[in-house]
Amino acid sequence: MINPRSLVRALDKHWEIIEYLVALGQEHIAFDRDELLGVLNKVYPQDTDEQRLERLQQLVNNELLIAMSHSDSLQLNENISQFVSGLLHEHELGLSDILKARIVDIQAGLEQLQQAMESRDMAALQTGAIRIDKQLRQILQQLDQDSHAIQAIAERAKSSDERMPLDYRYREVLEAYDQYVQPMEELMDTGAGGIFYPLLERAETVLESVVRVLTIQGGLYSHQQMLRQVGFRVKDLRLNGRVALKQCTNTLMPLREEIRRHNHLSAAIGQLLGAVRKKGLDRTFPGQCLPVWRKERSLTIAVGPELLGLMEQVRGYQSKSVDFPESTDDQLLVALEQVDEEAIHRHFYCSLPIPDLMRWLIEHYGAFQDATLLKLYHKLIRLPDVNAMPNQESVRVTLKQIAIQLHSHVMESA
Amino acid sequence: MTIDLKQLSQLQALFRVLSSGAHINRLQDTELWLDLEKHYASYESLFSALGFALMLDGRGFAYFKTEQASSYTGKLTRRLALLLMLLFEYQADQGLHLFQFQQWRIDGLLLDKLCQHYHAMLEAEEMANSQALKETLDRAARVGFALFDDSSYWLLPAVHRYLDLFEELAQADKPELEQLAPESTETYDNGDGEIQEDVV
Repeated sequence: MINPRSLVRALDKHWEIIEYLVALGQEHIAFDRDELLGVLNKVYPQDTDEQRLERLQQLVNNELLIAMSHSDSLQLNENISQFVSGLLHEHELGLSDILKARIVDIQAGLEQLQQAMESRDMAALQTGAIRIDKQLRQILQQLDQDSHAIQAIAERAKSSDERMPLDYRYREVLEAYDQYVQPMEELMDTGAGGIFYPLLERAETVLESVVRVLTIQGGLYSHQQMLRQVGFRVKDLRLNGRVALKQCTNTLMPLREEIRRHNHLSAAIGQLLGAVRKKGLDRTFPGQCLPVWRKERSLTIAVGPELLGLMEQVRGYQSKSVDFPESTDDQLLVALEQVDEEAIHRHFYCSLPIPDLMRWLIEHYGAFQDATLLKLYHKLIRLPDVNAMPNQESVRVTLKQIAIQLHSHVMESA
Repeated sequence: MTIDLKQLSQLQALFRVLSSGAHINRLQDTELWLDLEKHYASYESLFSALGFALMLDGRGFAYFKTEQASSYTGKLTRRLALLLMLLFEYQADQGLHLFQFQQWRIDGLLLDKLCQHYHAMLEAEEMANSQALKETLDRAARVGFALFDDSSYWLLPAVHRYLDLFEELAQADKPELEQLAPESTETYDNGDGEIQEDVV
């Protein structure tokens, strides 16, 4: 087993060839070394023969390519193949039966959830929710992959040689329609026949009722949150299920009904659109191959109407006078006082322990202003080397201008 | 070669249209087209002396060729390419003849359908509403790829520039192993033993 990070790094380094091989993987199982060298030659035309051999060797050493058992051929590492296919939207069409199996599992999960709620078994509730969520996520992923696979099938049918007889060209399309789209339509029928939507509706009601019960009876927030998240997933699937199916039908119908017009151009466009779907527009039309035309525009600069309006305003400008408030004579400022803090501290340390700090201060320093006194009080209780304990009872003290109510501190040396 | 400028009655108008980057279409710019066709050699040498490459296509359109795209035209041409591909794809699915594209009425209804059908691809280019498609067509109309008439858009022959490109690119783009067959047999002869040693 190779270290996963080395594998990812190797994938980055050899991305071009891997991308090419994944595209070829639609029609090939494994590759001979000679075929691989040929592909390398095509993808990296600037390499010399030795460099190509070296690169092939690296691909094998990094386990991007793995030897098939019982043969000399090399195949893509399955993990890499799946990962890259997913990124490039190259998917095989899934089976509608898998969806059915998942639906059965969701039903079982809902039962589990209800039972867990009745017996108030929170661990079972959690596993039930996770089980349902996992299946929902898988269904969403499968629907997405299947619609890409269907589009790929349609693109193949569209872009194959237009002289090929229709039966032959449409074989894959017809198969996909009969084996996938029709069963899916039955499954997703919103009427009486379908089982998919009633299930989702049931899932939604069960989840909502469980959340309600949890909210009323009390439960861990994380559990409620988790159930709500599963609920969101159900809503997401309800929305996306029909859309995905409709897209599949839209894509296949014109082919199945043989309405589509085929010629060289439509084949080319079908193929290019497939490339756009997988690789994006920028990579489909590389460089400057698209038609361009001259773009010359003479520029004139003129004064716009806004500026003229502004100039008009400037011409008639009159300065606005702003009245500042009158200065007042009230002496709100507290006159500064000279306080010899060091002397007070010394005095304070001598007087320890003090049963009531406020009273002590008033007694000895009552001459100071109220603000100064309060400041001193706060400074003294914060001194690091004394213990300050607030009194149990509150007292009311009248100072010079204000009265305060406080639990005066008891001061002891630490 | 002497060019009698008096003969070239549409010189000024032609140069103005062409040098602004627009395409001249036979059925829309009849007067210009007739004059251009009549004195093609004179026009061509005159314009090339000025540094412009005049291209005249038998399917009914003419333009000045250039290689450089401004960022504006670069973006527009990509959007237009996507829009045209989707439009032709949709019309092929409806069973219409693709090369009769000049007769298609491209109205709001059709653009809405395109938005619905190809939402994902249009969204990737930030043009997933019919307003964005209309803007693209408006700009295309300004350079002679389309025409706005009777509250619908109509494609013009200059669109062939894109169609040619589509066919050309699709030809070049297929990943295939078979093409390599002759080359790989050659490697087989020359260096197979060597490869086996190296790789195993």
